[in-house]
Amino acid sequence: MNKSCHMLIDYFNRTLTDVEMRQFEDHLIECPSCQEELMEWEMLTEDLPYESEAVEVPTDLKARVFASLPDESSKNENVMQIPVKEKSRRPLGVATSILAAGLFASLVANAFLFTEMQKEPDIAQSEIQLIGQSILAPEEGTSASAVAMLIADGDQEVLLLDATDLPTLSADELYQVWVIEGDQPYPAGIVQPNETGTGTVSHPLADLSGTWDTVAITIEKEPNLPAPEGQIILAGGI
Amino acid sequence: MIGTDDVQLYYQTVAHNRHSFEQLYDRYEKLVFSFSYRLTNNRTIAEEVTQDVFLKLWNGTNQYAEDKGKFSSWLLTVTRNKSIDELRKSKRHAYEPMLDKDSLTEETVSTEVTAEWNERRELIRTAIAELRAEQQEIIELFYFKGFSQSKIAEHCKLPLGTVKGRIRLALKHLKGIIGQEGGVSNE
Ligand SMILES: [Zn+2]
Repeated sequence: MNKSCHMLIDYFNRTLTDVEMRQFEDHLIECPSCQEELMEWEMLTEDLPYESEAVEVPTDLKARVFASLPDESSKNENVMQIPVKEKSRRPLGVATSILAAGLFASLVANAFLFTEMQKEPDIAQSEIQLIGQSILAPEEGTSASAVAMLIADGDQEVLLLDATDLPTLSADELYQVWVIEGDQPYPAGIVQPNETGTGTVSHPLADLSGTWDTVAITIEKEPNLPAPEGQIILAGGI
Repeated sequence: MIGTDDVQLYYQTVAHNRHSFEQLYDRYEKLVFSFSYRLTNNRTIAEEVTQDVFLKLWNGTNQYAEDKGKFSSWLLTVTRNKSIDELRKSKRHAYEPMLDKDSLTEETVSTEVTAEWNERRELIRTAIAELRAEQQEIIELFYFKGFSQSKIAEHCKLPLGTVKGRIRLALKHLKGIIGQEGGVSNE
């Protein structure tokens, strides 16, 4: 028992000064009894975090976290700054905002911008706008849900879609996304869900930025058929 | 047991796989935020802590290793450390923590983590309620308030030299009750 050993509790509770903290850390390296005791305190308290009441997380927290991730490609590229046109942003509905915020941050900053950046080094000047978004309603008998967002970057429009709880498919099936204009459907990407049934897709709407107003997901046997043949899983207006 | 692929997702996160990071984030966001709020009673600090904890996971500032125990326990320790640091910092600057009881709401999204968490919460609360008031208080002051030994001694009118023993006894007693009731504390 060294004179430092009694500081363990205060080290655990971080009430030591910076100097004491460093001193104790040095001590800890060479004191097996303190190492063992520290593990004991961690073990004795490991249940306690779960005593916490679940509180509602701010809906935009995830978006803020993902937006502040340094972009990988910025190491050898121009500075990544994405001014989002404030005036063009619609207020997000309460129900969509939590999903939409995360989707916006992770998809826009990630997949879409990243690919854009490869061919567009001066992305810093580009303007990303959220044109519209919608929650797709599940068809009867499924618990799937999805958020679709329409994003514009200059002239380019992109459909972003984030689906969760998609039922597991058999090996020869796939999830096809459609945009529907009147009664004319156009294929708009394939969702490849992970093992937990979550999947995202971003699809450039090069020829499709017309007047379509509905997004749907169906189960198909083949990709990009002229029209859906399989069961509709989710659909919604945008 | 949930989170069996936590470690794998963690290593993918360190390798900057956004998808894995997002899975970890979604899994633990609410727990990290709620725990930080429990410790600080301040939403602003809980937000900062949650951002900091996850960003440091991504950029490798906080490094997990399997010899540090379960990933979830480690993540919660990191959360507690940051929370009590930030709370102290805010008190030094004389900001009053905002009491914000309105934000206590039932959850809207049920994930595997929240389901298991609900179960554990009930178990722990039942067990804590079985402790004597002095033992409940010393756990609150030590773990949730992060008081120093001398402050606990002062607050509980105990000789300084006995504080550590009292805390240990209270926690062991609690652990014993939890073990009897649910046997989930050492899964
Ligand atoms: Zn020691």
